[in-house]
Amino acid sequence: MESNARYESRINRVIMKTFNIGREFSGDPAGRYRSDGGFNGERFREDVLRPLISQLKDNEKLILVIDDDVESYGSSFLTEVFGGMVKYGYITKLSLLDKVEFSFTDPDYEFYKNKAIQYINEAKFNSVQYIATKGP
Amino acid sequence: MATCKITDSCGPFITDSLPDTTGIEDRYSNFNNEHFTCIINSFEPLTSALPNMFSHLQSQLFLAIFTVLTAALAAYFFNHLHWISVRNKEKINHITSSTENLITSLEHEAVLYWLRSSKDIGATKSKAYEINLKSTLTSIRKHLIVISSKLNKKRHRRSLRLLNQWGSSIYDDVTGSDFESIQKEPDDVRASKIAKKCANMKSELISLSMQV
Repeated sequence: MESNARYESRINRVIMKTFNIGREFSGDPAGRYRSDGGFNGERFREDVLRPLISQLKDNEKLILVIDDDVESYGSSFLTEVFGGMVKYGYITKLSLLDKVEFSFTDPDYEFYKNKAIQYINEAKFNSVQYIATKGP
Repeated sequence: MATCKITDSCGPFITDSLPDTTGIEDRYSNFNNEHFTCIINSFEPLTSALPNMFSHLQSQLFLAIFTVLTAALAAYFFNHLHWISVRNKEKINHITSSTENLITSLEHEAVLYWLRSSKDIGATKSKAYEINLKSTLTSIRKHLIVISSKLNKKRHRRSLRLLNQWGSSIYDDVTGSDFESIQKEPDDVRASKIAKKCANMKSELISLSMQV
């Protein structure tokens, strides 16, 4: 009973922060680098995801709403965002998978969630040094 | 109850010792109570057997009706199953044919997209290609999910695995690398890889539609 109570209190203490990609970033996220358009993967990673994750406390998690107002994602965008977080050494795969959760109501978007997780798992931690690209 | 056999004692009405009468009125004139009782008595074995006979007939009738109903039900059931199978086969053929068309369209667009640089294609045309390719990939994925749901999980295990893997890998090939980039250069290897994968999937779908 006591251990259950502890577990529940630990669960209850986790705070979920939500970011809606379609409404707070863009309904048409596309491209890999800043030069590829206004709402590219590099921009999302550097200006949105990385700051959001770095601000999270131990008991906080980030929920990414991926299906609201977004038609689809290209592999280049998803790889740059999620694979890039690990590849550039910002966070380990396990920590990233622990901190970020994907939310969607449309079952078709489970595919993008699985691809994002696949890119996180395939990336090698801190294997590349990040060099910022310039926008158009 | 007394019994009586149909013999001479039954009188001229039954036997050949009938007086030589010329008309029916003479016959009836000889028909008295004694004869009637005798005739009725002669039917007694039959009447006593009737309940048993009816009971037997009833059970026979019930058996016959039961057999006919069971046969009809079985025929209906198998016919129903047959048509479910036929309709399922038609649906799979229809959706595989539709998926083949979508894959052909994807192959055509993706090869044209990857064989040229973004500069050669132009910004607007590139955007149109990218939008079309992403929506076609989404449609194909939905079709593959429907096909997978119609297939027997045990019998078509290999095909189900191939469909799933293909959907994921073609997405990486078509929308990976410099997809949606203004710096995209022609990538012949990627174009031929996409064409080959599309051809493989089309032949897999054809063989699948022949198997079901």
